Amino acid sequence: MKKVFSFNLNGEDIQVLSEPNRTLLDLLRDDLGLTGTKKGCEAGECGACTVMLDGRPVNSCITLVAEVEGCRVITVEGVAQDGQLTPLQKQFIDKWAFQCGYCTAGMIMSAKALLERNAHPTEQEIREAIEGNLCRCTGYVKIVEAIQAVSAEMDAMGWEVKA
Amino acid sequence: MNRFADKNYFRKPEDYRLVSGEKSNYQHIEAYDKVTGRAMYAGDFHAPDMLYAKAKLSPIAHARIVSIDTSKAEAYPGVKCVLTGKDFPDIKVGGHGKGANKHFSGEKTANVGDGDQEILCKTEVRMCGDPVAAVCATSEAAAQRAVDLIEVVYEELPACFDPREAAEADSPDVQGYGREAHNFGPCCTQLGSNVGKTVDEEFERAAYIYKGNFSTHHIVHACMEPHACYCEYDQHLDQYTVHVSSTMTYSDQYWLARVFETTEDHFNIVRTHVGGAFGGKSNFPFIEFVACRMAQRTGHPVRFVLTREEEFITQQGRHPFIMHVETAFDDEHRIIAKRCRQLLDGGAYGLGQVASVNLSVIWAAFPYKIDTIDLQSKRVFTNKSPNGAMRGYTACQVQFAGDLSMQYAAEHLGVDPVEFRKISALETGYKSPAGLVVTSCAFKQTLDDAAKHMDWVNRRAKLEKNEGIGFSGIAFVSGTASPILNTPNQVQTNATVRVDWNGIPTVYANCHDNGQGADTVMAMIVAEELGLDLRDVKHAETSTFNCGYDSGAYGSRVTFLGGNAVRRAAVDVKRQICEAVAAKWNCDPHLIDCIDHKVVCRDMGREDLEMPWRDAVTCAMYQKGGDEVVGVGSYYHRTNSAQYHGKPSNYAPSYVFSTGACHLTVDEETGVVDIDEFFFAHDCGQALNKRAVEGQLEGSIYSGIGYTLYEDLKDVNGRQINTNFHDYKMPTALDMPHITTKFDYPPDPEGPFGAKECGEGTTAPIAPAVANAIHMATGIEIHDLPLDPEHVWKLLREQKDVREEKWRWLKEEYYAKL
Repeated sequence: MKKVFSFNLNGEDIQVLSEPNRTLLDLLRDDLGLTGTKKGCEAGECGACTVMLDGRPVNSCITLVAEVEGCRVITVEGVAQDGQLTPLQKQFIDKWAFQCGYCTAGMIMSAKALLERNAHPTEQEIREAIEGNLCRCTGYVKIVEAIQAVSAEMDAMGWEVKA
Repeated sequence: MNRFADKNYFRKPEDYRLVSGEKSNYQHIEAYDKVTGRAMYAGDFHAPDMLYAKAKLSPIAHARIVSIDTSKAEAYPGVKCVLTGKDFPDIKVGGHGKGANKHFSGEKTANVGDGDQEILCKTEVRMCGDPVAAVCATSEAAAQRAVDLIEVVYEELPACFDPREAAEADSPDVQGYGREAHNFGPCCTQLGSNVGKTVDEEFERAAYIYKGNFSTHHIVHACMEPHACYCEYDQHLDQYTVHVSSTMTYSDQYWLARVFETTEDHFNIVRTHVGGAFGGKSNFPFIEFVACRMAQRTGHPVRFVLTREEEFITQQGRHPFIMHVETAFDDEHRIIAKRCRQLLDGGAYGLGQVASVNLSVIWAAFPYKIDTIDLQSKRVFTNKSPNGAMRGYTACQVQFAGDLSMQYAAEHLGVDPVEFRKISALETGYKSPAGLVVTSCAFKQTLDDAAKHMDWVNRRAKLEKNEGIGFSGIAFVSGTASPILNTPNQVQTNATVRVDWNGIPTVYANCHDNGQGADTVMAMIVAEELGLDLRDVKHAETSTFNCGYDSGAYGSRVTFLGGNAVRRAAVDVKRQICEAVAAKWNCDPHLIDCIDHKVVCRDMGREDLEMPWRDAVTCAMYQKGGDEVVGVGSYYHRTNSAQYHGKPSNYAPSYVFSTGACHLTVDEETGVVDIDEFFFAHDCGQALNKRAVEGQLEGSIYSGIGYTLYEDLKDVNGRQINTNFHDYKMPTALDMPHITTKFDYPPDPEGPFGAKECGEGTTAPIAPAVANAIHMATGIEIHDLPLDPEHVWKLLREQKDVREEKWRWLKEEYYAKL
């Protein structure tokens, strides 16, 4: 039985008609056409589908539509503001923090969530934050470098840049 | 191939602007799409009237199909089409394509050209996961429900899972080749000598012969993107537009045309972003044939994406190997002869089977000068999911055995393991008895650099118990000859560079970008030759209908062959422009160059002559009556197919060399290995893009560590049991060591701007380096992979009586007295 659900998606209040047990990932990709969030395992293990739910990184493949009622959801499409890439996205480009790009959306969401709660994470904290995001290409080296660089950039500018 | 490409117009090394120095550091040209989520992968394509496809897979490893009842599935609401084997002709896919049979002879060669894999099995299933029926419906849930309603009756047949048992006379016949074939696919033997001796004669005079048995395990690519396909059908033109996660779209087109009993012009295969391949997308998954047939039958676009579990059980993995190696050394510790026997567990189907046996024989002699060889590989069919190309294709297995043999021999002979490798190391100019010609080689330098970085000489006798440093040296091909993998034609690349009337060059090259940065490097090569910036060069989104042939991204061929083809196309443009401007300036066109957005004259005394790039393009068009300037180029490795007959030939245009070194500790209680540092030195000639090369090396170390310490795909009676990322362990960000890479070595004479392979063979030295370090740390002798905690724990206990003594001997006798 389909129901109407209301939540905030990338800054816009929206209403969707969906089965309550549909996953947020399928809703985003197939109903709303936001295919930047990727499907890698459908079991909450690979992290390719990570989105931010009220500021926390969650696996959208194991989050049901009913759970996001009234919440604030940010996907990779909602990271850049007014056509401007954020420092995090720029550093991902600069440092070659992606190769095939399939895990990138999830990586960026986990990193964004980390930097919003902790602007100056240690390397260990960065690695812990992206531990749930599997990457088969990079060996994580340049991803960690990119996140460190954003943190340093925040320091250098003397004010909190929005990741 | 344009052999007569005028090399006079090639940019001279002293004039390189982009490929050398600090400037050789570019960003991915598709970067914006990838960090904003706009990049479209095959499974991202979507249409409002799209149908979702799902398949019914065999739960049994070997069975006769008695009946398939699809009536309930057809009646299920939302179902639009149900397919079984009857919906496809009797054409099997997955082989090497037309022409392969004539290139390949030997002990057993059946069907290497035709393929052996049915789209949907008709009468027999040969492995768990063989597809027998498929459904498409208006929702994924409906398609899955309908698949569950399909009733298949099987009559179970005897199956074989162990490659050694499969090769015995009374084993079940997997592929129907007949009992006398003993389930063998192709075999490859290389016998030869540079000194006119046999291996037996050389073994006779040897001062020492190391003999050992080795084995490796089964893993899969586990690309983050599972195989996916999206197909639209145009009935009016009888034309399919296919977006498929593939790294060899021309081969997809070839096999689609065969299966649909038509010609290639009906299939437009669009090159989409690929979410990781590592060799796993150089095959022809049944989903693309099924999706095309469904699109044709229903008139709707059809999307077929495998689930993670389906990806595990239906797609290919890395060959498990069983190896016996005998290496003979003379009294100066030089390798004089080698004999090996290698058995490959191929699984139920052939895939690129010719390549697996042939390559595994090539690696057996690498990276050393071995003048007398007797090397043999055999690939055997078993009732398990098939094995094929995977990053470091068979090199990861063969060079594991080869390098451990070197380590153990060095200890026996009392020579430092790094120096010992250098004694027999390959050098520029060496021609092996197998016919391989080394045109550039910095292997010894990579060994020296690794030893220096690890401070080896000072540390080797001072390490604590359970602490070890391991080295490993390997070699790999840079590009391939014809015809390996499932390649139907010559393994060439065609490229076109077109310059429009605004002076904007666009490169048309179907070189697959799996993330390694192929599109970026191709654009950079054009920019370098034409004296422009990277951003001035546009990259066309290509498909099989709008650009030249490229056999695919495999065999470490993209930069070397694709790069050379693109360079020739760019130089063809440059020649035309230089000739046009020369006519205007009345000088020799060879004295004209394209630098910094200008065409300049280098004729003595006339250096002040110059013309902006765009004016030069207009000048060339004007002289040709308004025609656009279009340059074409192609490249392939000129060799013959003798290698496939066990006769000498130079398999690859060039070869690369690497040394891996690591420092680690072993927990004796748990068997857990903790690598804290990894150093990697790789001779890839001239690096074209430093960040990309670093990324490839770091990724290789990741893959190798996964292969060695974490990943292990287990099966019970042919049924895989850990088909998810919870049970199939892969390294996370917390598991990776500190990594240092070095790749600053001399350029190759034939590679584009001197570049060679990077990122495939570089996976091979990881496992032996880790094994050698564990050996040093604990004294245990290692012969088998994986080295996950369970296996290391077992070895520590099995060798309890000898390893303490061995460790003490290594530290106090061997390393202390070097």
